[in-house]
Amino acid sequence: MIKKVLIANRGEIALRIIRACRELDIRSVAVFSQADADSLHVRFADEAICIGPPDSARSYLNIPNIITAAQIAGVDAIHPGYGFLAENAYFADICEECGIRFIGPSSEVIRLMGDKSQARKSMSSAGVPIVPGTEEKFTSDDQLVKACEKIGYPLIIKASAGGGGKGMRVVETPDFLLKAYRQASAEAGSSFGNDQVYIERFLSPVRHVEFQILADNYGNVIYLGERDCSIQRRHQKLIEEAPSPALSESLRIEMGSAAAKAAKAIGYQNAGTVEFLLTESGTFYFMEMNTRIQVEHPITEEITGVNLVKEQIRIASGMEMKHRASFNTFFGHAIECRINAEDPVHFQPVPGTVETCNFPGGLGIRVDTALYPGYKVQPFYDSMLAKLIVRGEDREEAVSRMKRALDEFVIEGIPTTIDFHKKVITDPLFKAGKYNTSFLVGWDRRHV
Amino acid sequence: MINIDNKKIKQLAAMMKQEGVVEFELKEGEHFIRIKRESSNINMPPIQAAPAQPVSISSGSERKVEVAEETKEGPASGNQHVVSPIVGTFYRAPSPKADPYVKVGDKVQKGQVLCILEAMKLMNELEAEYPCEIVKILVNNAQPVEYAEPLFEVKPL
Repeated sequence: MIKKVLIANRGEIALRIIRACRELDIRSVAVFSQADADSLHVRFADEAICIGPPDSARSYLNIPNIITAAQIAGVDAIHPGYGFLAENAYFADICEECGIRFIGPSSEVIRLMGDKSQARKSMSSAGVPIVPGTEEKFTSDDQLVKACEKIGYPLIIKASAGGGGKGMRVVETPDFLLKAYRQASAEAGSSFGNDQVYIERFLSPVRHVEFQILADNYGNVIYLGERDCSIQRRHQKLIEEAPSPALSESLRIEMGSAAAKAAKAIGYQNAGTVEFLLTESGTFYFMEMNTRIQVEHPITEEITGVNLVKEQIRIASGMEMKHRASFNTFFGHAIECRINAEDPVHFQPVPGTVETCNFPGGLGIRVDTALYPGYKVQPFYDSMLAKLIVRGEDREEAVSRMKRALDEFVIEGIPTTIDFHKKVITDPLFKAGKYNTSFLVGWDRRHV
Repeated sequence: MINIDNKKIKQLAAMMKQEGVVEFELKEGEHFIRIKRESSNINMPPIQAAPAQPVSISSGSERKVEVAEETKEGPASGNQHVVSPIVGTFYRAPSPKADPYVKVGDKVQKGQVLCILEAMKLMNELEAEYPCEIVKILVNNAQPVEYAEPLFEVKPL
């Protein structure tokens, strides 16, 4: 078993990993930037090492400082959390070379799934349905136009190395194709240092449904049900729920089996997530695979009872996983709201100091956060303040519990998205579970 | 009376911090000295942006001394700290048998090597950014240092 883990992250996820270490009797080492010296992850880890200035490029992304800290502290393993170095194949390689276990899949798998057009090909050959499209590189405009006619409009151009909506263009009609293609390539080149793009049919309306996978080093692969992450704004997830209100048990088994098969086909190890687009008629397509723990993993933990971060550490230690059967039935229903430090009108991140705060409590409530009264929201990092997770016996109870929890949740001193979440949770379409990824399009006009 | 002075107490406090010792007690006849660090977690920062928790020292006599943790102390007036630009291991000399690059009292030129910081098996030489005199060496040879940890107290020349 791993004895000591360095957590190459900050905020609530660093705290989440420290908690798992504590329960497994593993020593934890926090790393922090100068802006985070007063953070809870620094306080609750067994050891803490300052690795750089506030700018994350020189601290949380500073591979030499993180590896040196790991060597000085004498850790066996590094947990990367999500974001920062979590899906950096080069970092995983270096950990391996330095004899430090990277808690996640192999660097080859990270590299393969990080190249979105390669991932499409791998999934397609594993028999997983992919969105109609092409990864071809085009040498002439003519070829491009013909290929797109075949795919059918509207279509979407995405960066192969991409994520977060950058290098992405929706093309409604052929007139805008060439311009959009050039813009997407240029943006991909400047954002990711790789101008390769791929083209897919733009499906709408769709839901974003993802399956949680666990795979150990002995060929065991299971899925732990799904999460519906269709409530998004500019490709950023805001509310997630599990199970999805849109899935029947037979569709769950079909999609979950496809996800597990995909993971097995690429030799996946540790925790991962296979994302699908699901149409209203129940057709599903592979979108991408995330080779890390996800922000929204707690809702899966709530309805399955599996501690995913502990399982990650156990699997990385070379142990067989505890559960051998996939999960198709659950302990009730869970919802997560991501509370961000944002102005509620324009959704722009707002730094500042939390003067006071009160976290909701009671049965079925979980708050994953690194917040405390006096906490300074730094302009250098992500604006997420807290994840409010509730579980109810069924969806109806979970929704009313979320409403109750949001009413108890107080953060003073900075603007937050708490009120926005209250409006969404009480929206008739949300209450009925009848929403898709376009739910928030035009939301501001309807509600402000 | 226990033969101990402020300097020794400071050294003890620094050693305790480094080794993660929370409490230290020494008894000699009816005299005793107890040094206690306030937190059980050697890396615990204060929850508010307050100065680091002091090491409080109580001894058998009426005398009470408060000593701040050494690395958190600012340099003496007019002096400056040379801090570590990376996470690494601090070495005063190019090899175990060689003479140290600098000693207390040395006057160094801009660009002169002060120490080596080893990171990932690479030896990084740290050079003086301005002419100065070495007033204090704040870390021990072969000690790991974190980013921005003060290494030397210097007096700019």
